[in-house]
Amino acid sequence: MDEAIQQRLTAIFRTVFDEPDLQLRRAMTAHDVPAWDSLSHITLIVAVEREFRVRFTTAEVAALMNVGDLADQISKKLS
Amino acid sequence: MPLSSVEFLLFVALSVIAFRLSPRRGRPHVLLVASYGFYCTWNPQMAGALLGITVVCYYAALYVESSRGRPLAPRITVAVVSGLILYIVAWKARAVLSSGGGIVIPLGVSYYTFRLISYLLDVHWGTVPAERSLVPFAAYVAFFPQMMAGPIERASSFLPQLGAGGTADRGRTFEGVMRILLGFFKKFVVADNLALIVDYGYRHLGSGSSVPSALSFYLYPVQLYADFSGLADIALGVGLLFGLKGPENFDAPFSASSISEYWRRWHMTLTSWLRDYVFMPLRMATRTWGTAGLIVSVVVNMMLIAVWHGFTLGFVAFGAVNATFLVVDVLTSARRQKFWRRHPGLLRAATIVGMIVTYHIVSLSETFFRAPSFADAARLLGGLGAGLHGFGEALAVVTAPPNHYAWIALPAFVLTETADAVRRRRGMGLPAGLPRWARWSAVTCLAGAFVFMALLFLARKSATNPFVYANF
Repeated sequence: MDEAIQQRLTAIFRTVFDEPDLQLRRAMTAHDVPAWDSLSHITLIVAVEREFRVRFTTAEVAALMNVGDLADQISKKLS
Repeated sequence: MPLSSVEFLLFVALSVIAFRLSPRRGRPHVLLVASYGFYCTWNPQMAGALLGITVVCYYAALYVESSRGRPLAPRITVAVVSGLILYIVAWKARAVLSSGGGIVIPLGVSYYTFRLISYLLDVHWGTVPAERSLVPFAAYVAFFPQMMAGPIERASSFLPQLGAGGTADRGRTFEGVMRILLGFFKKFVVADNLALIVDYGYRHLGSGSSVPSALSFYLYPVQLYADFSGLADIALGVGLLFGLKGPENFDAPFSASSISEYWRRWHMTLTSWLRDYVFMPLRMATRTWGTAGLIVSVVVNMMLIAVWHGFTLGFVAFGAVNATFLVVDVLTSARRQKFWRRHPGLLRAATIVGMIVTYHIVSLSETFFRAPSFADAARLLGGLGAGLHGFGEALAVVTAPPNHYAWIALPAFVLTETADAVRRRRGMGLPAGLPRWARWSAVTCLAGAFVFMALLFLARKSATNPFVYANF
């Protein structure tokens, strides 16, 4: 995971899920974060879109399996 | 072929034997023949429609995958998915409009169309590959144990298992038989006995006492849960006999401390289906609307769950009650969580209070689900405040023959909930390392119980209550 993207993503995750000590891993999924459900998932996506000034499609969001996939998508859109 | 019949048990046994004796490559063919054979015993005239729809979706998915990026591919997805939605809507509407005029909804129409829609959307989004072989795909769509009331299994879970020929070892067979027995126990001992008491309540709503209303109000959710989860247990148990593990449909829903949590534990394969294919796309489309987008997504999602059961005012009211409380729940969730973090000492009490409140919301919404009419629902709810006079009389009636055995349902429910809790924690297979005599004793007891159940089916001359969710 790109370090700059990881740092910015970590800040977003900590704010959205209200977990100040959360450490991101590529393999991390919704099962690893108690507050990460279908409602907060969209809040997370909106926060990511605002922070990185990118736009996801429904198909792209549906294909996200873990934090690593999200970071890769952001990286792809920024390049 | 009713599930609670010796014919069904024999059909399952013969299908499983044929499946297991076949070479791995031939097993999808056996399962396909068995599934269509089962379907024809219910709806022979609609088996052709099932096959036609399956073939269309099979080729549509192959085309969508091979033509990704071309403008026609998304149009094909939209056209086929819209066609499937219209197909369900048309049947449900016909059933309502005919109002008992002899229209029979094709068996499993809601379940197999949902399987097909999810498959097509997954292929369209590129999250699953299109199945190359028609036979396993058709066996997935028509898989007979899940045809009557789900669970709604995804292609990505089912097809790899079938491709491997199923994992039909002794452990899964034992677990499958246990699961089938548990399902029939839930249906015949818990649900059917509670139905006697709930029906009594509905027949005596005008008695001037709150007892009939309270009995129906508080016991119907348990009756419905035992009935539906029993059906799911039978479906999953039969699947295990083929060596195919299906998705769980329930996770102790009455332990939920909020209505959102309840819906994550009840009919889980339907709610997760709607989450992935309705709620998420809708939420993505409305994500810039703020709170209004959230409310619209929650309400639309819940109302779709409601009308999925049928186009009646009762189901609409069922959805409206749930949607109202769900909106309140999601809008206050963040504040409540912050409050409980500041007051962790109160959390335990709040969880218990939450469970009680949630059960009341569920009972309220399911009153509209069960009541024959709006007027009956209103009489039942009005009757709750009528006072406890006549309690002794009502009790005497519901404990007199022919209902005198009905109350066995309550301890039996505690027993099945305990069995389910153990199953979730440890599974239902034989514990490893058991001595030979204990293993054989357990297998013999299980076989004896199964034969006893079959004999009971034979002895039951009168028709049994149909499974509630077999109607959807």
